[in-house]
Amino acid sequence: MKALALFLLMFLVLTGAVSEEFQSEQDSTDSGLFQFLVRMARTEIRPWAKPIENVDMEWMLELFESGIITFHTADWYVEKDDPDE
Amino acid sequence: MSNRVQCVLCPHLCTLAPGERGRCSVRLNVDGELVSLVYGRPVAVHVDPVEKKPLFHFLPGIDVFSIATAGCNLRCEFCQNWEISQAAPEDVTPYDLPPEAVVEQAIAYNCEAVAYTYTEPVVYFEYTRDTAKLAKEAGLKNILVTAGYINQGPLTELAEYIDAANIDLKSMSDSYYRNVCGGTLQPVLDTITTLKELGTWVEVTNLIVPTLNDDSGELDELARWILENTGADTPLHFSRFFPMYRLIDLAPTPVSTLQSARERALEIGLHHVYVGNAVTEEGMITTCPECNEVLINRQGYIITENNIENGKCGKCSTPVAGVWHGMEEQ
Repeated sequence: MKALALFLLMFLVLTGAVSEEFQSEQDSTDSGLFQFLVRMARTEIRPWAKPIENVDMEWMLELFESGIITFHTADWYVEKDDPDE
Repeated sequence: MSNRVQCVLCPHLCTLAPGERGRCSVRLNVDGELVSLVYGRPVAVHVDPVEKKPLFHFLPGIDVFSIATAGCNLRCEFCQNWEISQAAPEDVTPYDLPPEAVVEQAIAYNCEAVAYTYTEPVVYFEYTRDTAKLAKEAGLKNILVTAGYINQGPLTELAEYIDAANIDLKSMSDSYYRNVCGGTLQPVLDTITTLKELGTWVEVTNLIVPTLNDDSGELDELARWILENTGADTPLHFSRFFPMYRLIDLAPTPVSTLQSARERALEIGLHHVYVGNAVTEEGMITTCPECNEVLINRQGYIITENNIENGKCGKCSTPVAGVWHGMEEQ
């Protein structure tokens, strides 16, 4: 996954899709894609492991209300600073 | 504030943005707070003989109240319980069984221990710990059946309540762990030695998968590592693979491979080496390392003969490593 992200990132760079001039003319969707690729390339350090998954929170809340899942406070985690700060 | 969190429970160290869940699929970032999706929601609840865990040197013959939630932090391609271990919590209908109810049920079913098993108790850490604490207060033993992929801090916290553990040492190859299991080797080795040091009774299981980890040199290396790091008295179970999950094209492990691995591990110096998931004559028998007398004979999970008296060989009185009825661990 990381290799794919790096490949796509390199492709965008080579085609000029992420140059400053181009960015300034584009809407936030393109910028979001760029940020997504940067984030993926930076954080997906274990491509051989099961992936981290983005879930539908509305669905999770429904499952929680129906009792299928719990939102029990977990231990053993730390807050992380925003990487862009 | 990004509300990102990093789970430090297991070596994956997943960094999660809000709405993301970790590689275990059961720990979710909800607005900057990490929550367990499976606390008190087991998907498997059974009463098993302790021999099924397998634990052969821990209170033989007792019944064990066994629970598991969905989820695992590994993705072993040979997983024998993949329907629940590789499932997300919403994929399997759970029971509503909080820790208090687990202990009540265990006592009601005349179980002497609670086992956290089938999938991976590490990923339902809080449920395991809280249940184990209550079980201990109620006079029950606690058994952990785990792949051991956990960080040292939470492991130490959990170990306070755990009496016995069977740890799955899948291979001595880090690349095997990465490519076949989605994990790494060293944390598992650390778990085995740490639990041993903390006084938990430890037995080790190795699932021999044809063509993937059945090299005799590697199996010997595994036996040597156990000998050198946990001692000759640590029981080792070589377990037979059956085609499952993503490895349905492989044949079951030949029984001769299991027997050969067992014989070599005994020659290397381990005192108690067993064969699981296969019918063999010697692979289910506990013998005295001193006089070779048969101590415990088993047919499947049923004990047909037990010559251990007060934790000692009934013939030569040599102490037998393990936890036996009526006496403390040796």
